[in-house]
Amino acid sequence: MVAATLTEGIAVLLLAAGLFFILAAVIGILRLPDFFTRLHAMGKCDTAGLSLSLLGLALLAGDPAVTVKLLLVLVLVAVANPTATHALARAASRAGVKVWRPGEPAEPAGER
Amino acid sequence: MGASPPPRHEASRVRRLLGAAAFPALFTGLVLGMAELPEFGDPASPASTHVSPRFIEDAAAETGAANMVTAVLADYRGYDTLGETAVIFAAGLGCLVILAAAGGRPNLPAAGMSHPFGSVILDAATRILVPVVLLFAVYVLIHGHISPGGGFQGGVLFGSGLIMMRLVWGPAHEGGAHHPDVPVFGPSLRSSLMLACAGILGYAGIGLAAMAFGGEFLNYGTLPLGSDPAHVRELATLGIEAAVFLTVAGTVGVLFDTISIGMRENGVPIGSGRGPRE
Repeated sequence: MVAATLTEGIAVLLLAAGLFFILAAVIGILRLPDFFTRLHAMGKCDTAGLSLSLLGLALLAGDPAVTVKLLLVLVLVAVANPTATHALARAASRAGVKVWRPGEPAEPAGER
Repeated sequence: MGASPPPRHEASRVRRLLGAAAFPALFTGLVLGMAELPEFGDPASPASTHVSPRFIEDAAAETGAANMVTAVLADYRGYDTLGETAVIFAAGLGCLVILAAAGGRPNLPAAGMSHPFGSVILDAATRILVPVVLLFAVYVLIHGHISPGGGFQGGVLFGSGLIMMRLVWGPAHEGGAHHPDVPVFGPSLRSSLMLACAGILGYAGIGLAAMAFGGEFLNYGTLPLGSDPAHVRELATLGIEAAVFLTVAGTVGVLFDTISIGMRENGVPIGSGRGPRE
C-alpha cells in the first residue's frame, strides 16, 4: 500500500514537472521575439516536458506492456524531437530567416 | 515558366462545352441520389439491420481476423479494396507521367533531393530512426489482423521511412555513378515503381488464383493453403495486405521522387543550401 502510494506520488511529481516544462514552451512560443528563439523554447521544453510526462504515465500504467510502449515512445521523442528542431533551425538559417538582435522590435508569433 | 499555352482548336472547345454541360447534370443526379439514402447512422437502415450484425457475429470465425475492419476490408469487400489500391497506384502513375514527362525526359532520372542535407546530427538520428520506422511498418502490416493497422497504414509508414532517407541523404542513383559522400540507400524511382506494380499485380494475382482453384475472384476459401477455411482466409488476407503495403510504399516513393525531380528541374533550391538571403 505504501509502495503504491509512493509510486503514485512520484508519478504525480513527474507529471507536474512535465506540465511545467510544456507551459514554459507555450509561453516561450508566444513571447519570444523570433523564429530561432521560439524554436529554442519549443525544442528544449517540449522534449523535457513530454519525457517527464511519459515517465510519470509509465509509472502509473499498471499493464507492463503499456509501460514498455510508453518508454519506447519516450525514446522516440528523445531522438526525434531535438533532431527535428535542429533540422528546422538549420533549414531556416540556410534559407536566410532573419535573426533577432536586442533592441529590435519582435516579430509577432505566426507572422514572418 | 515562360512557355506559351498550346493553341486551342475546335475539338477541345467542343469537349470543354460538353464537360460544362455534363457537370451540372451529373451533380444534380448525385445530389438527388443522395437524398434517397438513409440517414447517417440510422439504426433502421439496411446496413445496420443486416450487414453490420452479420460482420460482428461471424467475421472472426469466418476469416480468422480478430480485427473486424481488416476482415471487412481485405476479405468481405476485397473487390472494393482492390479498386482503392488501384486508385493509389494510378495517382502515383499520374504524378510520374505529368511531372517526369513534363521535363521531356523519357528515362527515369536519378531521384531524390538535389543535395544531401549534410548534418552530422541528422545523419546519426536517421541511422537510428529509419530501421525502427521500417520495422514498425512491417509490424503494423502483420499485426493488422489483431489491432488497428494493415497494408495501407504500414505502407505509408514504410514510405515515410524512405522519404526520411531521401531528405537527409539526398539522391538515390541508378547504376554506379554517384557522389562519393552520399550513402545510397533505399529504392530508386524505378524500383519504387516496380514495388507498386508488384503490389497491385500481386493483389489481382491472389484474386485470380482463387478463380483458378474453382472459386470466385477474390473469394479465398478455395486456395489450397490448409484444411481450416478460416486459416486459409487469414493467410490470403495477409497476402492481400502485403500487396496493398507494397503498392502504397512504392507509390509514396514514386510521388516523393517525381515531385522532387519536378522541383529541381524548375529551379526550386530545395535542400541545396542556396536559399534567398536577406
